[in-house]
Amino acid sequence: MPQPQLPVEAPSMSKEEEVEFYRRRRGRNIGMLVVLIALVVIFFFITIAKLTTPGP
Amino acid sequence: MSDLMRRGATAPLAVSPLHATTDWSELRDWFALLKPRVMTLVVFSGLVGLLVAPGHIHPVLGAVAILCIAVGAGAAGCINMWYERDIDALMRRTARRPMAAGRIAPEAGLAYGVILAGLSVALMGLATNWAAAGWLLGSILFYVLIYTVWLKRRTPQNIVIGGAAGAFPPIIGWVAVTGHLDVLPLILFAIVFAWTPPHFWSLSLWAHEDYERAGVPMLPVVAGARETRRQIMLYTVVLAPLGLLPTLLGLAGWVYGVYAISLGAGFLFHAWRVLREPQDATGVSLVRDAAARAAFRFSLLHLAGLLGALTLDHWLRTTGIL
Repeated sequence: MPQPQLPVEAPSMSKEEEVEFYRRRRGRNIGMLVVLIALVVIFFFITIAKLTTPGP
Repeated sequence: MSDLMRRGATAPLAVSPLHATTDWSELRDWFALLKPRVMTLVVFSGLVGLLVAPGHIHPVLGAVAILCIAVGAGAAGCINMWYERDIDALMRRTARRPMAAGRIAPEAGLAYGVILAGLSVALMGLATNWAAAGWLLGSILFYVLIYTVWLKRRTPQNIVIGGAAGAFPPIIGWVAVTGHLDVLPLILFAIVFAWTPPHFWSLSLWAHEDYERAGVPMLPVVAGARETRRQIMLYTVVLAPLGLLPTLLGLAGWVYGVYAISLGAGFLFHAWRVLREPQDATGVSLVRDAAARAAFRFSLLHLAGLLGALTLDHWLRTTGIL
């Protein structure tokens, strides 16, 4: 007789782990936002510099 | 299983992300993966290459070029930490690195390094020229493939050949301005190349236990402290005249020449002290490697002084003061 399949449980997080998870994710998200803004600013200024520099 | 896990996306959050305080420690880890302390020297030598090059570069593009050199070097350091996380965990000096300590997943660290490497090369090409981008890519590949993967665990000459990786920034800075290679950046490459072995071997004289534990064949581990002292002296003897070469070839003035003679003589003095330090029959210091520690500190001053003097000399001559 086939054995009944037990449901596979997802790994659990305690309340402390959840707090830690959100604190770390928030830091990571802010870091990513800063990098993306920096890239936009860099590309903007590269474009302006290239446009105002006489070519070869 | 927690309530959050059981009910999936529909579960009311036990902790609102909006009210969670921010944990910056992970961001600090991501930054530490770029080896910021090594980056300082890379940025400085790249900046010198850029400043002493003939011609003009828009300040914004020059700043972006330096940023690319820094990020490229950081990316190479990050991939190096990914590859060496097993031996890093065995050494006291490196055991707390993010991947070695398990705070950042290895695959995430590798992806971060590869993405930053690609981004820095592409940005360098777009901002300056593709020759500089090619040199930057070459330096990253050299550090990762030649030094990290091929040499470091195989030969006590790892530092000698691998030192070339750290010698590329002046070339990259120069090519970013001019678009081509010349004699002076090649001499700067040679100076940093010859400077690296006595600099690292001075450090490894007192940090060799770490390398021994990790099985890295650094010179003091394989050939002993006595031979390491001799090699430090030999490379410093080569380095001193190399430092003077820009003045001898007419590529720099007497201001730089005076600095080169003084700093070269200073490094020779320190190398001599390392060689003659009170030691036992195998060359192990009897005075806690005081001379090697002093030589290591002086080596940092030596290279920074030499590169700074070259920039000062260039500025004095181009502004007509001299």
